Amino acid sequence: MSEPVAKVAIRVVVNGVAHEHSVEPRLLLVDLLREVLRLTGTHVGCDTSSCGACTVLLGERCIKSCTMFAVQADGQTITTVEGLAAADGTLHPLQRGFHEEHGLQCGYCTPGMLMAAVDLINHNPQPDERAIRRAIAGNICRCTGYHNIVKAIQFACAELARTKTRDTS
Amino acid sequence: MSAGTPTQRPRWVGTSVKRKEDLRFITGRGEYVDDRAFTRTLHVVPVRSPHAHARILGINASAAAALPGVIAVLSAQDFESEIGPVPAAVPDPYCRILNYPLARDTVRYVGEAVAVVVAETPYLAEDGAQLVEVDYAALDPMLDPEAACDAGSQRVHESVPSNIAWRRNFVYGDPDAAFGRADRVITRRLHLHRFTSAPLETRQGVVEYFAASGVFHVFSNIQAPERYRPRIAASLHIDPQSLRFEAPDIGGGFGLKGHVLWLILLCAIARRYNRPAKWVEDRTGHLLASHHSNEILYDAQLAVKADGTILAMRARAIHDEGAYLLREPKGAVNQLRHATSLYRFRDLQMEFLAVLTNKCPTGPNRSYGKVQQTMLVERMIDEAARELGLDAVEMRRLNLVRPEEMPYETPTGAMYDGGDYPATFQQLATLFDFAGFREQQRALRARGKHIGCGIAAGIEASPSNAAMQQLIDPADTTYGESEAGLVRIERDGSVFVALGTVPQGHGHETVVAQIVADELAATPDDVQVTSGYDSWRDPSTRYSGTNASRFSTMGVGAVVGAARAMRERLIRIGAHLCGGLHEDMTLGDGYVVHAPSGERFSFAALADSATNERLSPELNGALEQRYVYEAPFGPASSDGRGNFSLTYAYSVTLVTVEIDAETGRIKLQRIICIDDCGKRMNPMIIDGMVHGAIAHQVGAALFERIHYDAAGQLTTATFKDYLTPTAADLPSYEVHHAETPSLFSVLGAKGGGEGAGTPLVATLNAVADALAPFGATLIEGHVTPAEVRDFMRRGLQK
Repeated sequence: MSEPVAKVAIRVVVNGVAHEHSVEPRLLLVDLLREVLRLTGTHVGCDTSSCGACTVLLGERCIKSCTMFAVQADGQTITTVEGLAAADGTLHPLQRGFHEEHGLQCGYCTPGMLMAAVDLINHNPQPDERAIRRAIAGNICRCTGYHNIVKAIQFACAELARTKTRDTS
Repeated sequence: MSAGTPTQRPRWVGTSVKRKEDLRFITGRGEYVDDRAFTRTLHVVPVRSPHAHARILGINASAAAALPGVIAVLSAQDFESEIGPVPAAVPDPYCRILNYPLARDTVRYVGEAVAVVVAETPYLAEDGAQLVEVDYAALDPMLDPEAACDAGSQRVHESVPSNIAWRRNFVYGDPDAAFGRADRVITRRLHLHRFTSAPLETRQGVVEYFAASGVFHVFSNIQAPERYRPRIAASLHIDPQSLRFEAPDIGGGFGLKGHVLWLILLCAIARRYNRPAKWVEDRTGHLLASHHSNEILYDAQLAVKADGTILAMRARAIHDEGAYLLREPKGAVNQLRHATSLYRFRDLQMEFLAVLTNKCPTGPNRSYGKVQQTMLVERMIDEAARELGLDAVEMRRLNLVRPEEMPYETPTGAMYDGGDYPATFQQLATLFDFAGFREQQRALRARGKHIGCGIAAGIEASPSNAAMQQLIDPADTTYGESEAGLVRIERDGSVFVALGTVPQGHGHETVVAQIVADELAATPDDVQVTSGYDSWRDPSTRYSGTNASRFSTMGVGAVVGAARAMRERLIRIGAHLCGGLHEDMTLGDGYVVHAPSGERFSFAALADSATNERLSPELNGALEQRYVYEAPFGPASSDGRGNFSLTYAYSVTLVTVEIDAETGRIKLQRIICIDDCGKRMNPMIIDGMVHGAIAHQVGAALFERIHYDAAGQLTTATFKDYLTPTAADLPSYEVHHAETPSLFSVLGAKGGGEGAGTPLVATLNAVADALAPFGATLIEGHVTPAEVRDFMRRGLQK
């Protein structure tokens, strides 16, 4: 255990920016994001992949970054909450939804909730309430009782549907 | 129009202003304790006891200490001269139960910290902790609080004569006579289990020590630092003012964030190594060893007339406190604040026993003392109604305090500050078709399907008069409660506000901006409110912090006081500058206006005049007004009476469930909550808190239970075993409101949003209602599908 372990070079693209680092093989992805890249919007709430505060997108799908080694993400593209808004600062419809519908209180679960919801609406743009509740069932919130988080996601879906209608008409 | 009367403009208070806090959180730019980088940080990880009760024979740290990157392995003896004890706040001799950050000689619960590894990185500290070998001689654990009461039973602490650390029998009115008049006495044993509101962000802290000045910068997510300042300073033998407390954004508190012992330890480590010392609790550490909610075994009796009139209640409440007393038995006396709940009965006896066991200590948890009293009163009423063959809702209505009796003084001396309880029950009857439900229930029962509905009502007393400690220790003379606020007009005319509260997701930045905007005829966007808390920046009193829903009364009182003083000051300066009459001056849109002439002065100009021109001694000086708001509290009386809160919000919750007869699964159908927390300063924020309280307390009834096995091992030490409900487990909620402004608080708001335990007990009552055909009596505060199946099987065998 005390023997020094050779570091491994990895390359990841996070929020559109390429990073190369040599990391310990045991370094968790969440610690790469938080401690090495200083992207502290991704949080840790449980250590057992139960709470989802560490949820980020790996490619298209959301994953729990506390349950994956940084080396496993080598060569991949990652999106964290910091990369959710447009480059000009325009908020993502989900971010607007969380604000408009009061979908957050302490804010600690919010980044993970947002990223899980991004995955949902990318694959199912018009989910019903049951689908929304199932999609965020891997994310624990202790403040909102989920009521307004569901409404926040519905808000974003409605907004995206309106945009789409405008685009196609 | 006279000065002091705001101009006719829309009021911000009372509207659902969207939160100022949100932008940083939805973009990942909030700052929590673990997010700030300190240089040369030392990481502190504990070695925890695997035993519920054992003597520590020795600690072998050589392998850990030899690990590169490990600075030290430290145990209690390393801090012998540096860290003094925090004594239990109970009368002698039980104040000899001492709290230390690290166990000395004996461990008394699984998870108790025995040593800490200090290392260059958290990973290395964890590695080191794995290598520390502790030699234990296991002792029998004392896990049963009733057995712990027996004379001669094994003691958890040998320094005191028994495991009953405190007991007191409180008698109000003449319960014996009232029981003599009863048509029936309902007797039940009830058990409220342990659970925890488990904030998603665990307890954390970084302490940086500045050797030259002797200052400790305590950067942590502790909820009420000023309350703990004296204890931390006394333990470390330092000047209390050498502690600078700072709290950034906090990821939920719910009473759990009171890690005073850990902050003491971090201060000592930071000073020893002259480097920042950081501790981030892991989830298992939180579930093992933060604290749990009050666990109580009740033997209760309710004296009733045949028509359902409640005459009196008696209860013996054994509080299973766990192994140490840091704040307890505060949770017990908290119950007395609203002991008779919404009801009129005047005769009451409550005996409390604070009993030590080899479990994690208990302490404040959302709706502290309120969940516990609601469990007692509202389960007993349902049991009584079933025995009497009455409708449980109607029985409650018969016993409610009437609005014309407000302000109502309860037998324990609480002064209820308004509310129309019968109207709230009437409102519930319009929201839920009780008769229709009963009809449906009968029809479904005939087909072997089981649905149930249950309600519970409860009081949320807030804030806490320090005099409650006198109920525990009559020698204590402290009473009162206060908060400080500050309003400043900056040189550019902008408004800056700071106060002593420590928000954990409550939206204080938004609500304070609404309040000050109203007082100064501005908009919330014009008002900058500090985020977090910093004792070097924000005003405070000895009670400052955020706990017991105290913002709505105390924080608001402080901010309103400071803003009104500022308003008066601005008007006086404006009147002086234009030679106008005080009563001709008014405020609007960032100006003080002389109404007759229309001459006006911007806030910026007034700030400039006050500091750069010679006006008069009383008008000159920085445009900054401080105000300390004190709640009008007095001491407790020797017979245990007193008004220990300023406001008494209340709520009624109705839950309906459907039972799956095959699996025992309890499916939540409807959850309706009517809440009256007085003036709703920001209805959106209040609603959000009510939602959260519903999830916690329905969760406690159906999902969340802290469980120890027969050896004292915690079997629920991760979120895989301690089941916090997810979105898929819960329905949407139907939240409604009454709004009876408080007779006593500054803006009419009452401390609320904690649920008062009503969602928990309404859920239990609904399950009991569904299972009524099986003759089931629920004793526990938590019910599982397996237990439901047992009830049904046993009921069918009868």
